[in-house]
Amino acid sequence: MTRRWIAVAFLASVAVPLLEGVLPALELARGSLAALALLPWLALASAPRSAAEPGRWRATLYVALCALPPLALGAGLDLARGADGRPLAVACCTGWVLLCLWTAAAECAAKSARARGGFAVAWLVLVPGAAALRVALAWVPLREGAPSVGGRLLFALDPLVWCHRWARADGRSALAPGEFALALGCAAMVLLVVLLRAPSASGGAP
Amino acid sequence: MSARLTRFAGALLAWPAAQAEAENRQWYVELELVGPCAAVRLECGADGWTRIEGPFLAGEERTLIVPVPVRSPLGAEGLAAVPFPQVVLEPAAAAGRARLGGWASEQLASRLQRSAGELGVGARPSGRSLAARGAPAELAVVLAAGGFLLGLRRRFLACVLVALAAAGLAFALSRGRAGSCGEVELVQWQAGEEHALVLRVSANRLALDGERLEVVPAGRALEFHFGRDGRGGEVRAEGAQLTGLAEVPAPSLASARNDWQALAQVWTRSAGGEWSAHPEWGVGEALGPPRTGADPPGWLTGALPPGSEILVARSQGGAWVRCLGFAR
Repeated sequence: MTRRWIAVAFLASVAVPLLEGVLPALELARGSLAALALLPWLALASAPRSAAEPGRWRATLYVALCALPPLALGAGLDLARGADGRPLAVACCTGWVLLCLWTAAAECAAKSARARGGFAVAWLVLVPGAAALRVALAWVPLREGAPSVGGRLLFALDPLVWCHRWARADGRSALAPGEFALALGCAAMVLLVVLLRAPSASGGAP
Repeated sequence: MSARLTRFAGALLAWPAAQAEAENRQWYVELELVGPCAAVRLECGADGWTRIEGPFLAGEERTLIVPVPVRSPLGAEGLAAVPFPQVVLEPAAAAGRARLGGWASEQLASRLQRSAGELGVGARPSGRSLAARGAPAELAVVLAAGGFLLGLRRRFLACVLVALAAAGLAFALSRGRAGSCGEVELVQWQAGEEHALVLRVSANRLALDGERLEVVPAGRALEFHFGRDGRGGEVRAEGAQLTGLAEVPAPSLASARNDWQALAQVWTRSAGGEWSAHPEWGVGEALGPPRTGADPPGWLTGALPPGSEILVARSQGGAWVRCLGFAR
């Protein structure tokens, strides 16, 4: 992830508390500010790269470290707004680990052409693809009495949809434990597949 | 320029909310209950539920008047068309029984609505902008950390230290902003009237001691929790702004003498719309002369009727007061 995109992600992740702090009449977030801080990182750091950073694990940790201050600011403000500490801590930790896994997968995939292609397809389907499908389905009226729980769980595979659900006003209570597990499991699976497809790629020191 | 921009942005964002008339979500039903059971729930579908915590002993008979969070678009007159809540005993195998006797004959919200005209509730604050916000200190810490992290990319250990220190500091500073988002109380009345309207605004949870309950965003599912006697209730709705309204005797405040409470901060607005700050206003004292000072908080000065003199103040206990038509 280039310095320019890290700067963009950083500014986007602090934009909401910054604007609300500067403009007292402005109210942008009714839900979790921590989720809003994490969303740009998940969107930008998981994107496929054409060139690999010199040390993939170090590059992954660097991105995750850059996301920490905005995430901590958002979490602190969430607590100040009355959020329960434990569910918030669980969601923050899950989100941060999710960011590490997706960033690691993107960094590792950039090392070889074979892994890069596979990761690009997985990313296209699981990140923008699933998010676009979720938006499209939100516009279609649900059939009377149709169960929606399965679909909701399925969409937790997408880190953007997962994070967006957490960012909603009722997000912390609406997220089911299964959605946490699915989001993490999917990201871990993607990383595992990338590592298997690029076994010879040499990584930097952790 | 920035003050104008702030005002414009606030007005733009508050406009849609101002268009939608807030609905009451606190409608009372009569509940007849015979124990034994551990608790009773009144299920209102997507609108939420009311839970009355027991235990209720075998043979114990109770008749309670408790609120339920149903939505009634037509107000009290339209309650007859609203589906009745479903009564559920806990545990499911409880041998007790319960039934709803109907909607309570007197709905407190209707009483409040009848006197609303006298209280000048049309100019009440929206309650927006009460939530905790990042202060310049933590925002500066985070932005400075971002600059350092971008600049120190090749020095990994320094990045770790900067990120952890900034995250810890930003978290500690921002979570300390809780004071700005606790329950906010505003007492508002029209000068010369006998009654005032008290509004209690809070995020996520609020004591159910008012006569009317409004929720933003509208339509949010609510949880009402009560004790055995149906009193001391609390409403919970994560991520929602809850406003409880009740009628109280109007504070005895006149510019010649304060017979109410000591006021730590005082502002008045002239009929021409100019705000003036005043010194602290103790009990038994006259209102002090105007002096230079900061303007009152923006959420208290929006949507006020033009051409009317107004008093805005904060008591030493932290409650805000606003008197419309206050003569200096």
